[in-house]
Amino acid sequence: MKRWTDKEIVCAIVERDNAALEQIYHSFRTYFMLHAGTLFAGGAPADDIFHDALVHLWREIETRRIAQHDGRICRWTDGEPRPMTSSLTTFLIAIAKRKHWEQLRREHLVLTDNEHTLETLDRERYEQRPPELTDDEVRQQVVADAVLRLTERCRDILTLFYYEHHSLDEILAIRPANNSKMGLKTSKYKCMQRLRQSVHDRLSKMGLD
Amino acid sequence: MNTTTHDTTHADSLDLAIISELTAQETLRRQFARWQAQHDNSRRLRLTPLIANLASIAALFVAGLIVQALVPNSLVNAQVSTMLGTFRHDNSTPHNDGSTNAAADTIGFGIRPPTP
Repeated sequence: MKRWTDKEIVCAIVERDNAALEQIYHSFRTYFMLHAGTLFAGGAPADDIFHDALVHLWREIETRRIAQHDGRICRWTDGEPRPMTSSLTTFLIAIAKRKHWEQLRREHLVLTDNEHTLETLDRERYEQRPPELTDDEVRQQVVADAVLRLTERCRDILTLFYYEHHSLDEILAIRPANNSKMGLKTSKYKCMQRLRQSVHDRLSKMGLD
Repeated sequence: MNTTTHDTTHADSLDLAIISELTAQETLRRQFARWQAQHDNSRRLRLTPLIANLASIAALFVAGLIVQALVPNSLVNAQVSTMLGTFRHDNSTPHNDGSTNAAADTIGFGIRPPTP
C-alpha cells in the first residue's frame, strides 16, 4: 500500500480525487486498526469511533481549515496560517481519543443525569480550546459536535428526511417502529429542537450566542 | 431591530447550518462504508478459491491416511502381486508365429526380470 504524505492527502481531499481518496481511507484505517486495541481499551466500537474521527478530520480539510501554505500543512485561524505540529494521522488519533472519552463520559452522564457535571465539562472544553479559533469556527465546530452526538434514532429520522428527502409517509414505511405519522412528526421535531437547544446552550455558555 | 424577525432568521440560519452539516457528514459516512464494503468483498473473493484448494488438498490427505489405516498391508501386497502377475501373463503369451514379445516379457512396470 502506498504511503501518503500529509500534503498529498490534503491535495487529494480538496481536489476530490476519488481514486486517491479511497486509498487514503484504507491507509488511515489500516493504521487506526493496528493501534485501536491499545487506544480503546474501554471497549468502544472501533469502527464507529474511526468513522466519526475521520469525518471530523475530512471536514476540517474540506472546509480549508487545514490546508497547505508555503509548502507546509497549516491550520487557518483568524485568517492566518499556523503550521500544524503533528501529522494528520496523529491528529486523527487525537480526535478519536477525544470522541471515545466523550462517549464514555456521555454514557456516564446519561446514567447519573448530573447537570452540574455537564456544565463543568463544557467550561473545561471552552477553557481548553485553542485561542486561535475564531468565533465562527467555534460555532461551526459546536454544530458539528452536536450533530455527531445525535442518538442513532434521531440521526436515522433526520437523515431520512433531510438527506434522502423521504416524506413522513415513506419514513413510516421504512421505520415501522414509529407507530403513527403524528408520532414520527413529533419525533422529528423533538430531534431538531434538541439539536438547536444543544447548540444554543453550548454557545451561550461560551458567550457566543 | 425586530427581535422576532431576528430570532426567526437566527433560528433559520441555525437550521440550515445543522442540515448542511448533517448532509456533509452523512455523505462522508456512506462513502466510507462503501469503500470498506468493497474492500471486504474483494478480500473475500481473493481468499475463497485459495481456501477451497487448501481444503481439497487437506481432504485428500486425510482420505489417504484413513485408507492407509483401514486397509491391511498384506491385502495391499496381495493385490499388487495379482496385478503384476496379470500383467506378466498377458504380455508373455506367445504370438501365433511362436515368437513372444520379449520387450514385454517383464514382471510388470517395465522392470525386466533378472537373467537366469
